[in-house]
Amino acid sequence: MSATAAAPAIPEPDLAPVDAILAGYPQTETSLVQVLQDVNRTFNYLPCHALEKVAASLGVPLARVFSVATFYKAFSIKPRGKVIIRICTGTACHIRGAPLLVDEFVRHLGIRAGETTPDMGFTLETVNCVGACAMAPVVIAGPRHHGGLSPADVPDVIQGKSDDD
Amino acid sequence: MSHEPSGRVVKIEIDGRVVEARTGEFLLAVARRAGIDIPAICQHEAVDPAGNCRMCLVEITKASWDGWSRLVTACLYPTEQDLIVKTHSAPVIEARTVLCDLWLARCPDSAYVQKLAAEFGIEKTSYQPAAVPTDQCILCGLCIRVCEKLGPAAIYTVNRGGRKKVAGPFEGPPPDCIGCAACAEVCPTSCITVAERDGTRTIWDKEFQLLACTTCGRTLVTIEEARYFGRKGGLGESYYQLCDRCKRLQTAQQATKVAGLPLTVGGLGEASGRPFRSPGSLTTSR
Amino acid sequence: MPDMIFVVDVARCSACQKCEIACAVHNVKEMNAARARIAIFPRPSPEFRAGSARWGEARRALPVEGGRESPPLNEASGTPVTCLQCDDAGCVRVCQVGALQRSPTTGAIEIDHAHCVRCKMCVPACPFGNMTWDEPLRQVAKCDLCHGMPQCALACPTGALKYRPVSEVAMPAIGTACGGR
Repeated sequence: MSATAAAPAIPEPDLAPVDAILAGYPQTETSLVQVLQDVNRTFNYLPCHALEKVAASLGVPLARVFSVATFYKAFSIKPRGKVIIRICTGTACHIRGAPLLVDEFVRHLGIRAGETTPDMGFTLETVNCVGACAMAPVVIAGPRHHGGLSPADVPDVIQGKSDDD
Repeated sequence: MSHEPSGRVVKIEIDGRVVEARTGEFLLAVARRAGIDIPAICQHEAVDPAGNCRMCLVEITKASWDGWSRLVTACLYPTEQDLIVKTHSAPVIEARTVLCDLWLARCPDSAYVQKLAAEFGIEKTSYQPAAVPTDQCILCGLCIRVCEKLGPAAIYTVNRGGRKKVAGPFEGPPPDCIGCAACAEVCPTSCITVAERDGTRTIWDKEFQLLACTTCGRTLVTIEEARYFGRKGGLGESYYQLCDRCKRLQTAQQATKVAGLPLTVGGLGEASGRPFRSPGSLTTSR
Repeated sequence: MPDMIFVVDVARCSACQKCEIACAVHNVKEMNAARARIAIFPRPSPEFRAGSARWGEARRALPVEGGRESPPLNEASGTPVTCLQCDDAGCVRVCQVGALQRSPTTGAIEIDHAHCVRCKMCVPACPFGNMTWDEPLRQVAKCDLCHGMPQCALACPTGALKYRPVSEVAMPAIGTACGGR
């Protein structure tokens, strides 16, 4: 998740779903995180104008909405790929070779951690611990957890993901 | 400020002095009333305490606590019966020293932080100083709370951890900012830059037109600020067409007329044609 | 309810500016009339001169102090302008932090600098120009009747500025900044 002020590379999506999401919650500040979660799930990130809509609708200052949006790791203010690959770099995974996995993903996808492929197919992220240390090193690709990976498995994770979807 | 101590009157001990307070009243307020100094950086009477800067840490204990004590932020700790407070004990000084040490690592160029650290005997940080000192902000958040209190709520912290900073939405010029610069006025490290030139003020990368006196051109506040607060206070725009000096002159002319004397003050006369309500009489007070 | 009231009698002002100096010295510790909370507007006036016999003695004995250019002593007369302590005051209305509060003892609107965040909006909000910004102190400056001991009234040699028991004053009108907007 980055906080650069740069406008997203892709055009702003149709924000109609935001209205539907907002309609499902009380229009108060307390709904903010839930609404952002739904918006983030719908678009895979939080579009600028969606944040403005949410701020206006819930009566929360836009600056505060942005503050919340940048605080939680679960939210992204940059557009993300269809599949988000999260490589755990926590202590256990680190010891069992997570840095090698990161290198391998970077090589295969041609992007660095925190970036998204130009075709919006994949976003690569490193996370600190996913709480599955027994399976180290762990990679979460989209909805699937992969444990005990070696660099040789990386193409399968990328490919397999595409196949499953 | 909005925190209303509700409880009964109790006696607590601060630095060996017995002080009266109401239960629920925050320790910092109690101590200050008693003239006992507790340093606090992010505290301001205009806003509720937040416990952000941690400078007001004090050691509390009770006779019944069996020698056990702990550090709490005085600005947020509610008074209770039999509390014994030490504002300058060894653990307190140590905690404040560490704070200054850390701030000095973060803001090595801040004169305010340097001075503060020097008071705790720190000339050089014992931590790794920030590789590229980006700003002199200690993230106390006072600017944010003041902005919120005034109404615009234009700035907040963005990001978290090492990349946390105070900024507007999307880290750009804050759309809700009215350019009143109260944030810069209250900033303890004076790290919010306000640039004024050619009738404009730039703050948070946003440029504002300053409100100029229609007669003499003097400036003080931004047009957006005048409109915003004017609307909040129910004042029409006629209130701020003239600067205070020109208004005083006008008042003098009006008052002279009320007193039945000729009107030859300064030569402005009625020519300025500003909407103006006569004070009626010059008896003041009530 | 305050029992004293501040009275300005324009017809008695000799524009000597003692009040400005007394105010500045008391409030900002500087002999600088420009930083006073009260302002005197000197006014040459033949009509005024004709009626000046009552306090001519006192006026002649007084030097003109301060930096402002005044007409010759014999012709000098002035109009004092200071805070009216309005009932419904613009400055109080725009203050978002409650820094401007009316003192229950003097009835004056006092500024609490610990509460003030220096947004300066109260300065343009005063329709009479009696709220000023003191740049050297970086503070808003307004008349607070010196907490019940107005130095300007003490310094005034002509009785143009008086601080009197309410019961002795026959002018009950009170300034209202916002009421008739």
